[in-house]
Amino acid sequence: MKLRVLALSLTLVSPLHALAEDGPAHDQLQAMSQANRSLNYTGRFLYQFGAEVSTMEIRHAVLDGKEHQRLTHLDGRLVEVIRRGDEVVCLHPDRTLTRISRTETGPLALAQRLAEDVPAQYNILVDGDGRVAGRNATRMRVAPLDTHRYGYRLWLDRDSRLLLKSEVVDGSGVALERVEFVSIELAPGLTHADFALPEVISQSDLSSLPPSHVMQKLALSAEWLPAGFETTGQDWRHAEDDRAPVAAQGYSDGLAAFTVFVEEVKDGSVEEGVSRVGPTVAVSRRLTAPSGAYLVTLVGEIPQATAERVIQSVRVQDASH
Amino acid sequence: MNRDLETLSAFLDGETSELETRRVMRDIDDSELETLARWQLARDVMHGQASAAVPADFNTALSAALTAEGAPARRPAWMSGMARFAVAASVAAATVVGWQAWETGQAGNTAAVPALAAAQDSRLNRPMGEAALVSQSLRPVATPATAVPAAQPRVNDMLLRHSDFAARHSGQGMMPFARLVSMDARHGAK
Repeated sequence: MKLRVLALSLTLVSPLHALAEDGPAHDQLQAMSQANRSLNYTGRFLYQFGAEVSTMEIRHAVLDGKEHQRLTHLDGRLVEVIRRGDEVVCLHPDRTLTRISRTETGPLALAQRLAEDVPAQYNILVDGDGRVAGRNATRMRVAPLDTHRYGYRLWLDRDSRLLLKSEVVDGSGVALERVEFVSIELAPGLTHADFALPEVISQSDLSSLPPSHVMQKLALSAEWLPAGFETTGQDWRHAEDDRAPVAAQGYSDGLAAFTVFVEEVKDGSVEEGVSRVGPTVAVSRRLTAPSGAYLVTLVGEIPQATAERVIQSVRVQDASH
Repeated sequence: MNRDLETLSAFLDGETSELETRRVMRDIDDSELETLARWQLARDVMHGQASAAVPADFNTALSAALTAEGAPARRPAWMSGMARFAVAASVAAATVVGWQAWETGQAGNTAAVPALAAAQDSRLNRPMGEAALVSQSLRPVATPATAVPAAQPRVNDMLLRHSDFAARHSGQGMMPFARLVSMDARHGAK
């Protein structure tokens, strides 16, 4: 709760606050988070990721008290992510399907954390008015207080509070990723049929491993994390039986998130390096522990320098040694 | 309307100014959306040609690399998807860094700089400038890869799992899934 007070006080001392007509910035974000989760809507939006632009459709409804959401890639190959309550599946272009989530890790917390407490590492401002998808919007800025995370520019619908447009911006204000609705329809009368799974060729699970598995003995820790980042989730999974399992540990500061993966490396043939697109960075590094050689990979939406610093500090302990 | 095919093209390549970008997104109509989609497809095709990963001695081994269709064996297979993605994006965005391997001592550091410079230069050469790859491996070229396709699903696994974590625990709403959809549509299927 002290975080909320801090965020609130930051917005109160800002001269930009004077532009707000609807109360403190924090309340607006809470209202947005609530609207995005509880309203029924369909819409089409432009999605810019790095230099790539695609068009997508979203359907969102609360049915039988459960959140349903369907994201459809409209151009190029057909890819969909369908969420029904806690069940999340990804439909690939080759008509195969991957089940991502099951209920075991608790309910999805889409934007929930933002609603509960604004992370202390960000300053939130109401920035004026705008117009998106033919609707009047309130512009907001979420500015990081250090260089270890990206900022956001948000456009909230005046009427419904839905997020109509958002940008992830780097330290120099360049948008790395952009979502912008071109049309949105409220209360479109969605039913379960709108979230039905299509026929697929095959299914696969990112299944959890039994606790007895050797990888469970691996402890993954980061000796350095940017302020505010905490561990969020942990699991060990493998996609197929013939593949070595990969351990994963998630981290988040409440807005940004990254995941660290560890896999055993049999020989020295993997390469370290870094790759980046839009706000997403992937960094790989070999690591030698008494128990063997591992490849540690970080995937997340944080600046590259921060990602490299985190991965340098990752340690693997094998409890069985 | 064709007011702005050029602007649209620049927009697609991420070369519009903030103001222009906003204008394009505001004024875009159905036919332009279609145009965008067509161009996107064309770009994808071109990416397909340009996406062979580049070995260390890029300059000297260019032709060999092109004919061999050799993916470097030493990169985690899933990363090649990301790297290719980065290569494609580099045409327009200096914000995208291609594959940079490190741990090769000084050689690594010096070689990485030209790679970045190339990324910026290629902005002028769109869209064919994609041939000016920035993806770079600084290790000796490995023996030709055979196992890369089999290992490919890893990329999806990691992105899927990261998206799942991010959706659960970050305040980014649908963004993690939008990222996943976008990446999978570009490079997920073989």
